Amino acid sequence: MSPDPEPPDVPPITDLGSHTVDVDPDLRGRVHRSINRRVLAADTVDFSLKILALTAWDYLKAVFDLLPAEKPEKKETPDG
Amino acid sequence: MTTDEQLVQEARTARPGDLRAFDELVRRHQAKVQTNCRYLSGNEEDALDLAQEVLVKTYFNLDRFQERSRFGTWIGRIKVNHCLNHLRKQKGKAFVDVEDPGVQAESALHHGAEADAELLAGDARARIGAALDCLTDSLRVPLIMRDMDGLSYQEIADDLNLGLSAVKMRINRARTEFRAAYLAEESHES
Repeated sequence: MSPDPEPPDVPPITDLGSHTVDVDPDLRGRVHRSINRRVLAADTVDFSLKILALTAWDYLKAVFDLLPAEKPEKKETPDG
Repeated sequence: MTTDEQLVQEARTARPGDLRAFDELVRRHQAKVQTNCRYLSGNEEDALDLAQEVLVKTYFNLDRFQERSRFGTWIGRIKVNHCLNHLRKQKGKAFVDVEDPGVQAESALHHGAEADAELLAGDARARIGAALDCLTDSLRVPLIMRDMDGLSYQEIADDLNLGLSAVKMRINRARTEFRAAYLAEESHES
């Protein structure tokens, strides 16, 4: 038994290609605000991480500075 | 006139905070984006949020635009994917099958009263919108992707995880139902 033939294509609805709804006048403003918010949030995280890294670096440097420097070994002399 | 692709270049190289080039792209494409979001989601309230998210996503992915296709086609892909994800999240499943008895008895799924009221509104644009609202998601979405977005049957089948013949069948049926709803309004007016 042969499979059912595909039904012929119903002609496309050409009006749909050019159909648009009324654009919300606030859409562009909303897009701007959302982009700026995200950029600001990313900058804040970036800044915070940099500060954290710098603080950690300064702390480590201070710790190393506090460690006693290695003293050169005294050579033993016959005098004692 | 500056082409979309030139504007994308300008937007990419713009200083931080300078959205002028991107704003022009938004101005050119916002109507199409909002319309598609409206009819792909089938919900007027979600449409504005979806359109906003699509445009913001576009901005942060401008570096990925490789100019192998036109900007309009590229933003169309972002839009379709975003709206389909939204629909899937809302329904918790992909699309129901055309042969599904639930779809056959689709009168229960129609927006009936709301759509009928809109059909009475009159002008052709409102009639198109109302006729689209009469269709179920499983018919409206492939119809929008084909006749509004101009995607191929294969692209639609891939996006909706359906067979090619199922997609063709849905689109044919959607066109028939759309015309019936549209004509019903015309005859109602006359």
